[in-house]
Amino acid sequence: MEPILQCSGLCKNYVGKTALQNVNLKVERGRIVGLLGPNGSGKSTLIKLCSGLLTPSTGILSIAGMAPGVETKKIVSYLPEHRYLSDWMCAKDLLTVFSDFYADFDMSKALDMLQRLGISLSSRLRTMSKGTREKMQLILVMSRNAQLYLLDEPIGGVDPATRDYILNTIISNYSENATVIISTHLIADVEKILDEVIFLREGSVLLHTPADELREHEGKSVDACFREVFKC
Amino acid sequence: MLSKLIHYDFRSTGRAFGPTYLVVLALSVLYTILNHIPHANSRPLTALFDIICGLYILSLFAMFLLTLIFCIKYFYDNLFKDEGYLMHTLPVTPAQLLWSKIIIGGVWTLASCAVAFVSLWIASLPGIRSDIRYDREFLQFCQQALNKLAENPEYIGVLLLSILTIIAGLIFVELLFYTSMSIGSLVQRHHRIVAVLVLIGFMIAHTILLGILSTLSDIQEVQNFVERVSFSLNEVQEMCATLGCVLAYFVLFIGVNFVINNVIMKKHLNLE
Amino acid sequence: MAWQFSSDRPIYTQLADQIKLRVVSGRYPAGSKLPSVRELAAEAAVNPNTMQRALSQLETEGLLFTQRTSGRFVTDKEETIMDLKSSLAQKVIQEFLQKMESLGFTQEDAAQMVQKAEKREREVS
Repeated sequence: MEPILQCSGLCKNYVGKTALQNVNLKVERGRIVGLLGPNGSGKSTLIKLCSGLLTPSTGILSIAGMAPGVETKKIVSYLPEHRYLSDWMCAKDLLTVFSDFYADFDMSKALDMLQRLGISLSSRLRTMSKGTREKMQLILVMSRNAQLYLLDEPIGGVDPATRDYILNTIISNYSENATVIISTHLIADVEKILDEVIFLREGSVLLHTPADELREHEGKSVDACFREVFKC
Repeated sequence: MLSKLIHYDFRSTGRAFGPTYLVVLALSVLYTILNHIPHANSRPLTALFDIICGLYILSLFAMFLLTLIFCIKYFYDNLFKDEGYLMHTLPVTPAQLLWSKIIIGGVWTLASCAVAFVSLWIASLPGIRSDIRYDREFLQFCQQALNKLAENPEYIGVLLLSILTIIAGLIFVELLFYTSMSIGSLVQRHHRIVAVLVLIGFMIAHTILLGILSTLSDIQEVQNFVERVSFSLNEVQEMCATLGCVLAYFVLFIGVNFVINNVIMKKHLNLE
Repeated sequence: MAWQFSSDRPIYTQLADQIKLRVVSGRYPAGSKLPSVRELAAEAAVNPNTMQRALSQLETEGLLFTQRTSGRFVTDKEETIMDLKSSLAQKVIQEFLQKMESLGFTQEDAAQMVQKAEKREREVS
């Protein structure tokens, strides 16, 4: 099967700023990939390009061999960094919306996760704590049987126990056909579950290697490599 | 997919209109009740009646204003703010997103008109203070129209074309507002001010265009052409032709607005 | 026994070592069926691909084998496990001796101290 994500010569420019320049990437299926880089390195831009929220300035981006559009949105599951759902909606409403629009939404999986986390179907987003809200958003995204999951800072603002839960959900959701791309700063927490890592600096890809290979080569953790590479 | 979007948009917007409609209807009921109470010599009651009358009329205006503002605000919040992250990653095209907003904008406008009409009917139930019967006048108008239709069945075409033109006109006006907001989203700050300026710009542009068209119609050749054409058409066909021209104008600019919105949402999406 | 590994070395080799420990300690007895890759990965909180790589390596080394329909098993050859056990023990001993040497003890001193400590343990229990 073709790689789930392929970029060649991908550039994204804004007025007075180049967010991504000449990005060439090939990400195969069945991987958990870490997209790592400091603020402003272009991580969010790349993820938004893959999810179809932005269009490339030049270059080619293809998801499962297709250009971003309605067909790729059917197979891509995107978790934005911040809140994006209507406050007044309750858990049941959200499940209904997702299952209405996405053919690959697994309602039983979602209900199971809600139950295990003790989130009641009638609880509204506006009354949920920050951690519960993040879990809710994650449940919606991970209950889809998508081919590409794009998680933008999924563990950023939550407590360590929730972090563990989120990482465990990502592992247990693993499928050979699907790839998860995680964009994060919290490398030390996440690196144990990563197959491959991509380092981004100022819109360019610095490296893209398997995590264990990096560890073997450098004799240190991915987190330590990152600190060294991106020393201020 | 479009029906799912419409369903979603209805659920999101319905909660705002319910209370407004209730207030309008309640005021009209209050008005009518007071209208039936004899209070010629009671100063407080007379004063109360006048206040309620004023409030009711105010509420009608407020309802229409709120409908307009709310639909535009919903368009912007849903597509260009946080919720845009959800809407633009759903497997739908920007055209479908736009149509859904147009349809619910139209439906809520019509609903507001219906509520206004019902409340006017309630308020105009024969009472002591006022006996203007809006409903009676409206019914008379409907009766006359139906009679005319019965006499000349070919007027059905005119009726249908009129309805179509009105709907197109409604969509056209909605899109003027929506497109202004979309263009407003392109700037980093002050997007509302930019949107208002763009809207004014559109209105000026259309006024100028209509001015040009009317100047063109003053040209002798054009007038001769129109005379020749209208000579060969009967009354019904002439009305249809006129309506057709208006409809074509609306449809053309609906298309233009659609293209602008599509381009903005596809290529220049700038979520806050 | 919790899975212990650090991020500063390739994880798959550490996982392989941990599985070896579990086999040798009897947690995964000879000939027994191993949990699935997914279960092991979830238990260890690692990527299933990484766990798969560790298991494949152990298969190459002969400690595990796969039966196509039934899954992955620990070898039933007792000698393989015994060999592994002694080589792991050898490593521990070597490390101990090196550490004692860095503290300033000779190998004979170290051996004597071990005997004394073992005697004390027996008296206590």
